Amino acid sequence: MGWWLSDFTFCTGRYESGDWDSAPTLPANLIDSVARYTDIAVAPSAVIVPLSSPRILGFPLVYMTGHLPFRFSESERANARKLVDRGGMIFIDDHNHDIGGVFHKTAVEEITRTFGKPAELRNDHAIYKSFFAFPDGPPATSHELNGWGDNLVHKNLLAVMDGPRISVLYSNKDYSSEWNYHPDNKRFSSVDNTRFGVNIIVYALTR
Amino acid sequence: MTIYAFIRKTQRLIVLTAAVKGVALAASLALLIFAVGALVDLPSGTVATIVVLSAISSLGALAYRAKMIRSPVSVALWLEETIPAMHYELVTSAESRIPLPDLERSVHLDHIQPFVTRRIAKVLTRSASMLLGASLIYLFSPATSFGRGRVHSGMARAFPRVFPPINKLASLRIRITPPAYSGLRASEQTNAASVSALAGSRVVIAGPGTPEGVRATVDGAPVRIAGDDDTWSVTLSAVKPVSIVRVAHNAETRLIVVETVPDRPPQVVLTAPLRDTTLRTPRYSVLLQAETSDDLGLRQGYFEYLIVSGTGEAFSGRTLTSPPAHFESRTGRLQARLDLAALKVVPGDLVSVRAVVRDNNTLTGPSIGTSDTRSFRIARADEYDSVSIEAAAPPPVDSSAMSQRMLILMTEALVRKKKLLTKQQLVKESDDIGFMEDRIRKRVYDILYQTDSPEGPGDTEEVESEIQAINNPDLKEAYDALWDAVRSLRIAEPAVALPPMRVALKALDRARLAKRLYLRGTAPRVVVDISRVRLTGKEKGISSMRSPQAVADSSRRMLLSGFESAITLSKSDRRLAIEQLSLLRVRALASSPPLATALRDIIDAMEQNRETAAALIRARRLLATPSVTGTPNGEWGGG
Amino acid sequence: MRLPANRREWLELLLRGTAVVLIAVLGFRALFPAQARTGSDLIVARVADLPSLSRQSTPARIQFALDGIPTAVQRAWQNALKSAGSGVSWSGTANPVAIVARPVASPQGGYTLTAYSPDTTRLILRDNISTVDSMSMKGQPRSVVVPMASGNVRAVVGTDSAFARLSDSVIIGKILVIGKAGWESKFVMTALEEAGWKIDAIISVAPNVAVAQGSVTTIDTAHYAAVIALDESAATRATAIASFVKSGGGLVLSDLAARSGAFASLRVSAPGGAPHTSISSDTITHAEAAFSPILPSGNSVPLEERGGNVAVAAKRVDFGRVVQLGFNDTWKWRMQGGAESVSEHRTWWSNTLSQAVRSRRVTVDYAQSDPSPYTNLIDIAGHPVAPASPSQPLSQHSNEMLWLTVIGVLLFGEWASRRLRGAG
Repeated sequence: MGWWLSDFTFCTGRYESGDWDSAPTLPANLIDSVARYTDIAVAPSAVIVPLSSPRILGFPLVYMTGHLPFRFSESERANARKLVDRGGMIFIDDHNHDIGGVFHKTAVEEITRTFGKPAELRNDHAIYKSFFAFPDGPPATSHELNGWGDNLVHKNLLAVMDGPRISVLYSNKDYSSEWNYHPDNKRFSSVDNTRFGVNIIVYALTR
Repeated sequence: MTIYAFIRKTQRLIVLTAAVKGVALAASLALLIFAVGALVDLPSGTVATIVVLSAISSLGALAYRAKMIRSPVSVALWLEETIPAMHYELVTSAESRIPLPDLERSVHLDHIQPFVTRRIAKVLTRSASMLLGASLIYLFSPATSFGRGRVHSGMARAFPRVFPPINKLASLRIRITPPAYSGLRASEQTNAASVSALAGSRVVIAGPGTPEGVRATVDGAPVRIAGDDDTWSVTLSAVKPVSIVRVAHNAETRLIVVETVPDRPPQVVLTAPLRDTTLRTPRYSVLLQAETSDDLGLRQGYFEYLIVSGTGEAFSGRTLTSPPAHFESRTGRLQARLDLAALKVVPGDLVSVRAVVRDNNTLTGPSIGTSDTRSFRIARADEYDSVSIEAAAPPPVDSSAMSQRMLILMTEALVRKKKLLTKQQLVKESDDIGFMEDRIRKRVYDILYQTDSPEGPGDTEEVESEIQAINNPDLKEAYDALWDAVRSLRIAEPAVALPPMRVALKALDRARLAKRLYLRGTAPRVVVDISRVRLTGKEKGISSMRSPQAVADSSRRMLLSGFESAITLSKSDRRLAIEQLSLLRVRALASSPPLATALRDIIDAMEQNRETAAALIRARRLLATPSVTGTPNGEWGGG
Repeated sequence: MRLPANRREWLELLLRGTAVVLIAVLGFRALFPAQARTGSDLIVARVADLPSLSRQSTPARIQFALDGIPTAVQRAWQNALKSAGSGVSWSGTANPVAIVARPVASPQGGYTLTAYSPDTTRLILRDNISTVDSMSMKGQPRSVVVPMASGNVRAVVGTDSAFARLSDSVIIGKILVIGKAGWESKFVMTALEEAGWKIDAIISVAPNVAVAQGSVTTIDTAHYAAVIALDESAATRATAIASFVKSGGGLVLSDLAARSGAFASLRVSAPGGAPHTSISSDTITHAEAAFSPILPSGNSVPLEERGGNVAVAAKRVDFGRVVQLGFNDTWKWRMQGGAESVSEHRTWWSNTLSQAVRSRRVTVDYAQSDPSPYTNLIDIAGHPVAPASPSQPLSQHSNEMLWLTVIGVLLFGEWASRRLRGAG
């Protein structure tokens, strides 16, 4: 922590309807990646904050995932709207990575109801070059390539835009499985698969 | 009858006839003045004044002319003047007032009577004809709705220079017919600058006169003008959120804003059950209740059950519904019994329940309202076998914690083989179990008091759960029992430790079920050594460009400048200012509904010639609130 | 002389006689004016008497009995009388009131209206549309920033008012934001862009990796109106920034940037020690806002205080301005504040930046203003004096028309009476 300048703190949003904590080591992994590649002041550990709590507004980037039905309560919906309206960003990842699955179906329904209908994000969007370059759009996950879930490689992420800025990013590529490992295990990978996570964080911090 | 009596009778008849003639004349004059006044478009006050003055004048003139019938002598003279054969017999009789036998004999009254009757009949006929004629003129004049369009159109066509065309925009009637499903009545407004209509309503804007020369556009696109000799009309449907109708005739235009009020979806509140539940077995029956309401009318509602089965990465879902309930009012109550056994759920399944209600909207709907979701989770049997205080998804780095059930099994085994062990072996094995039991105690302590959060309670976990945990008597009971068990195990008294261990197991089970903790508690807290890994990544990032963001409140700024110019304009052209404000209101409807309301107040006040000051102040405060008030710093003038 | 025959003739005689007497009185007044009659050279007049005063030969002394401040035209008239040699003084009551309108150096526009009235009274600000605001005066000038005003803006106290004509806005260049990637830099840029400021930015993400906006080449007054340094990452450009400020540019230093030794010569003062958490009611958005108090130095000007400590201060450096903030985490106001927190955060940053920014102002046309009528009155007629002769106002001179009308009516009545009774 700098001289009482708040660091970036990774925040997992807890919602009531499902298994919000299905990727418990992902936050630490992304924190590790942010520290590994950037000099962004980042808090060494993540926080979990209920979406229904006003404290969520202290974390302008909120990550949410799960396998089970994704439905907001009224207070969760109100806070999520407020966070986005004030310039924050929400990243929701389908831990099931299958179209038509429970999480995908209910999450898209809830995103539409709360923020507006999400649209496919163009693969040349700034988020794909905010720190590392991903000329082909969102990187595929091993779960997609190994035929899990719907046996598809999803070409685009979905997003709700606020002008040119992404306010809600939705993925059903299952980054929650892909990045959910202890950061120490990165040393076994030839290519760090969390680089797109860094892009998401840098994008949220600069746009 | 004497001559004098005849004269008196004739006098009364003449007076009566004169009165009838006077009334007919005054009424005819009034009708004619009304007709002419409408034709040349005189103000109603002026017309009324002219009518009153004319009536007084005509009645006065008649009264003056009727002075010859003030006395019987005058009547006698009038009779003798008009019947030359008379030689003052009547006058003489009238003056003497008493019958003079000679005269009575010489005058044949039955010869005079027809003459009088004819004269009176003639006068009455003329009066009636005059009144009839005036009435017809009035009927076909622009003063009546029957004649307005005809006369103006006809006269304007025949004498375009003499008769200016009718002002077809002077009196616009706006009739709104809501869609049938709403059950609302049609309404009508006159000369409104803006109207609200339920989505799907039929809006008819009508004015006087033929459709000839009237032009209309809806949102800039020309529309057909319908009508006949009397009325023209424009019809549109309230579909878009706001439609701007511009009607023009000659050089004059009118702007009408049609604001579409959407049929709101029903509101649904799940009133029972109030909380989520975790069940030990898939046998549970619960009454579901929901309260619902709608702005227009409800149609049907049901409960939706989403049943999710699976583990790990493989989940599947199926959706079932309760039998629909039908409504016939704006409010209703949904009720159903959820029987988990009937849903064929198995341990590990999650049943999400919500109420779904549809409204009566057959036009653009039905609109669907849904309630919050309640979950019923059926725990797996193995969850009870591993009453670990770890999270449901145990972290790979922390798998050494033994389950409470396993520790009980181990302790029971130790008690059984106690006699076979040496004192040292007993102490060691009991101490080992005590050590593991103490780890569970510490985990319970962590959950109870959130001590595993380095930043203290409230920083990492939900405050509500913290309070629940602290106030959780089951966890507290488990914690106390675990303390007792640990103490007994550490002094090699496993048999004494067993009862509190079992108490702890039961208490932990209760706590898990009661508070839906899933026993996942706090996620594993991995603290990254930032300084160790900082910038050690082999791959390097790239610089990128940021795009400027949009100016906020740009619509408000446009509103601000538009408002300023409209108010300035209101001093010279009120009608144009009202139109500008109406257009501003259209823009404000989306961005600032309170401002739209304030603008509507200004428009209403201007249309009704009321004071606008209060509404103006309210609108400008919504547009631009003075931001800083304070003592100016004389030393710093700013940039 | 023939005596009247009846009452009607008596009445006619009375009417005729009254008319003759009035004519005689008017003649006497014309021949011997009031000044001569009272034997004094002081004329007590009202502003309505100015036309008749101007028709007379120059009076030696005129005292105006006022019940309010005369209009600008009337004061000019009074000044003309003074220039013509009359001693002008005044008595009565008038509310001193003054107003100044300055355009705010911000793309959001608006004006800072500073009004003054010495008494503890209610002062109302109005423009051509409606009432703008009202304020309680407590012997000190008070300011209000209004985002919109139309035509003239008028400060009204009782029946007296001063007005200032609103000039056009100001011309402002671009702003350069320098900082590290983080919530503060993100939301400062967002707030300023939302407020309409044109910004360039260098946001450092990693060594030699930055997110940039615009093409930042040279930091000079030709390119930028102000620089915002959010943290120590701006220190590498401190020399260029110092030169920019000295030549007239503006600089906003956050608390963290001010702590950098590279900005030692530019900062207003060394930042204080431990952070203070201001009282929620004292913050702009009711969100907690920790700040480090600024210790005022000799040439610094405090711009904002929180809980008795200076939170924002400014100073001049040669031709430029430096505004130093005691805050580092203003983004929390926006995210965690009340319902209007976004606009309040935006406005706070825009107003703070406008204190530093270099701007070019459009010349103000004062010709149609009357910003301080009371002062002008004092300048012309001095301070108020005790009323000299309140019972003898000069306004009697201006009633000739009334008397002539009365005489006409009397004579017409007399003539009509005679004609109606058949007399010649």
